[in-house]
Amino acid sequence: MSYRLFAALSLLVGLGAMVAEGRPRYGGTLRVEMREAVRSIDPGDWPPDAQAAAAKERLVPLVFETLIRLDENSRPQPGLALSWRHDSSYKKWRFRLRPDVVFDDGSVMTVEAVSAALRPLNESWLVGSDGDVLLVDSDVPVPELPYDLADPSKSICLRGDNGRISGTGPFRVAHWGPGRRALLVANEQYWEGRPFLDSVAIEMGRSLRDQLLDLELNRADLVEIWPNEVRRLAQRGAKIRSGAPNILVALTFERGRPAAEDPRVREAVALSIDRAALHSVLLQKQGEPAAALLPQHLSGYSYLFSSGADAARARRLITVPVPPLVLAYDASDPIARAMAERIAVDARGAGLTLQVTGQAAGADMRLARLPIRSPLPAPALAEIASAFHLADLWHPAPRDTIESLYATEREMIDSHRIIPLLHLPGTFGSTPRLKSWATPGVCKSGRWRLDDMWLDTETP
Amino acid sequence: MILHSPVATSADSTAAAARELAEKTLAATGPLENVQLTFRNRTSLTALEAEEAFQVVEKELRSRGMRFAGESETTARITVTLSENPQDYLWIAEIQRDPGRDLVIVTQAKSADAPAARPAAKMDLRLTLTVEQNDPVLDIAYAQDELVVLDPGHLTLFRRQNDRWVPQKSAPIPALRNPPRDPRGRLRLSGETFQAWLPGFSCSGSVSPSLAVECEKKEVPWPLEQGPAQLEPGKNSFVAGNLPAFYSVAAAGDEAGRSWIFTLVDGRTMLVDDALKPAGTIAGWGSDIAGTNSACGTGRQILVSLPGDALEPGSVQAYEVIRRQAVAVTPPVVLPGPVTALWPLTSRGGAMVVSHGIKSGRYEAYELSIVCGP
Repeated sequence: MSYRLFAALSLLVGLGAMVAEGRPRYGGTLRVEMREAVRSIDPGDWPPDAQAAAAKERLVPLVFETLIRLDENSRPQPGLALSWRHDSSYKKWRFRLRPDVVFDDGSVMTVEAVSAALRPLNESWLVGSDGDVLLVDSDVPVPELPYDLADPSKSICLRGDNGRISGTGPFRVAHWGPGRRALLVANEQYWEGRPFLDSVAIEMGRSLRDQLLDLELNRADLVEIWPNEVRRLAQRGAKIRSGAPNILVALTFERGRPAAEDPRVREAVALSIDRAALHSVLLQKQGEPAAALLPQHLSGYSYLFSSGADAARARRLITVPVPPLVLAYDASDPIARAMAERIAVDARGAGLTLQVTGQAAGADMRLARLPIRSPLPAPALAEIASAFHLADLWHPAPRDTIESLYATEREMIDSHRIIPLLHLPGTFGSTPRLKSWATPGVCKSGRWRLDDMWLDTETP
Repeated sequence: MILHSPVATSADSTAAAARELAEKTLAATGPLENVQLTFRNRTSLTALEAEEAFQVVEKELRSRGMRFAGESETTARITVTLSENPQDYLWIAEIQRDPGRDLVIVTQAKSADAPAARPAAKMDLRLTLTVEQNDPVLDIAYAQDELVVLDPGHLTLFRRQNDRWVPQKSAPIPALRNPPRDPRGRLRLSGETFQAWLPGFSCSGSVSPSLAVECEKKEVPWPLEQGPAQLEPGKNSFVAGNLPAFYSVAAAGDEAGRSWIFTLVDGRTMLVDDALKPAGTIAGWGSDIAGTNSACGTGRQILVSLPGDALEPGSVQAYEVIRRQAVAVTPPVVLPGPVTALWPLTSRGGAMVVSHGIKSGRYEAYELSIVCGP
């Protein structure tokens, strides 16, 4: 065993042996690391890239809040709005705001300030006020408005003349180094109670490998980890926190590549893949094998899709020689290469040759992962269709019934332009001294509840 | 206008969903004979709840002319699965027969309330569930036939009805603009009057002839076991005299004399003598303790919350302090979630403990008493 590994192991074991406390303690700086380099915490500046958006979604709620929140069962709950009502057509919505909320610059949250924050977020909304009631009118029915308003991109912020933006959340920004590091400090006036932590120091742009090492060397308290590291880290005393399996890992075919345009080839690849082996061997049974694009907890019907491999049927589909296909994977993803190579082995059993590469250029297919952000099935499927260029298979109307949504997803999968492989949870490793109080600290959505976390100290 | 309120799932809506599923299934297949019907539950509903729902489906299909048979005589197979997504329960019927397969899906809006966890079994420490609610229970106190429950926003009077405590009246309590995240509260009942201590407020009132509460915004010392102590503003810990900040305190005592135990904010559990001089430390205790008298052992036990956090079920164990050493005298009792409050119940002996259920998300207050073993 190398000295470095021994030292790392000793640190984690030492922390694991610490006497823990029950009631939370105030104070301390939480050291957090993340892979994405989040350029801005401004909720009005949302990145189009899904990975970047998912990372930003973990940071924004630490500083900014939405009118409505979603609970762990994705049901709308009061946030900055205490209550709301709508007319029978779902076009007129009225919100009563929570009183005595202040922005972190000290100014009181008023209905005018909330109106000003909401107005630019959706041009089809007519936002106004009537006394202390916030009005949101729309020309079209918006029955899912509470879900829309719960999205962090719809956070309420106050824009000062000096370009500073203030939020009402549990922390405020003390320093923001775009894409590199940030320091958030406790909002002493937070309406839901000052956070236990004094501050949160965030290091961005850290590779998963570096994050793991920093956790093991006690240079970080909370890091992102890949699910295949869960068992090893847990055995070494780290605490593991996971959300629901909302990250879709899928194989997609690039449009216009001759081999990829052959539906029999795509179907043969789909039939050749042994998802159970990917799940149990490479992912060490973390997450779920996926035969559907939406996870079961989101759609309720994904069990209707079959994920069984059928190499014999795959071989029967290949009646003429197929030139080697190039499968690209994300070279910065520590487990993607192993997954791609496993898929290539499976494809060989169907008579197909896959060449795996970390270069995207010239690839016929790619191994991709997409964090699914929406808590509702229809917008979630729309996200997937958009991210994987399946817009021609996405039929926006009628999508208001679960049957039509199922039919749309069935069509997408039967096209074999996208092959779902796994649904993985956002997974985080932490030192044992990081504890949470009223919540598990990581929501099912994968978002952090750092306001509810606290740091234990070593018993003398 | 329609008020924001969660859609409740009732027997009516279950029956309506079952009816719709039966209608759609019949529309797809026509009245079938010799059908093999199977059910699957893929929801968080209990097997019993799901079984009740499935019986409604079976009845609806029968009433529309569908006839069921054993496996050997089957002409068609229908698998009805009760599944769920964030908004709805999904009733899915998969119909398999020559020449193909049909699928019918019906949705039913969900209730807002998830199934609640139930308390742990009785042990040497006897746990009796008193009340459960969504808001954190800070303390409870018993009057003759009444129970008073203190939470951060209310003082609620309960009466015993059919072996259950049923809320009768509730009086609001003012809240700080930014209340502490881990609120503490203490309630003392004397006859028909009470006093309550909350972060930033001191309240008093009466429970009879009607519930009346008056609160004053001021920090007053809390009546803890060793004497008055001040709750640190905005925090969850106490200070008293020259003592380090602490979460809770209990008196211990044996033939070696009286001593005090403090669970300190720095993680230690400190034993001090009657003159408040350090006399040792105790390892392995959590941050909440409550002293209680019983007819067992030395007659004086300390109920102790064991270490844990929100990801783990909480537990409480009874100890005695013998010659300044802590000795466990009962096995721990496991609670549905972490312990959020533990106070002595001075009027009845024992203690009250509140647990925040991991599954239910509700706060469950228990009366905790020591049962002497054989």
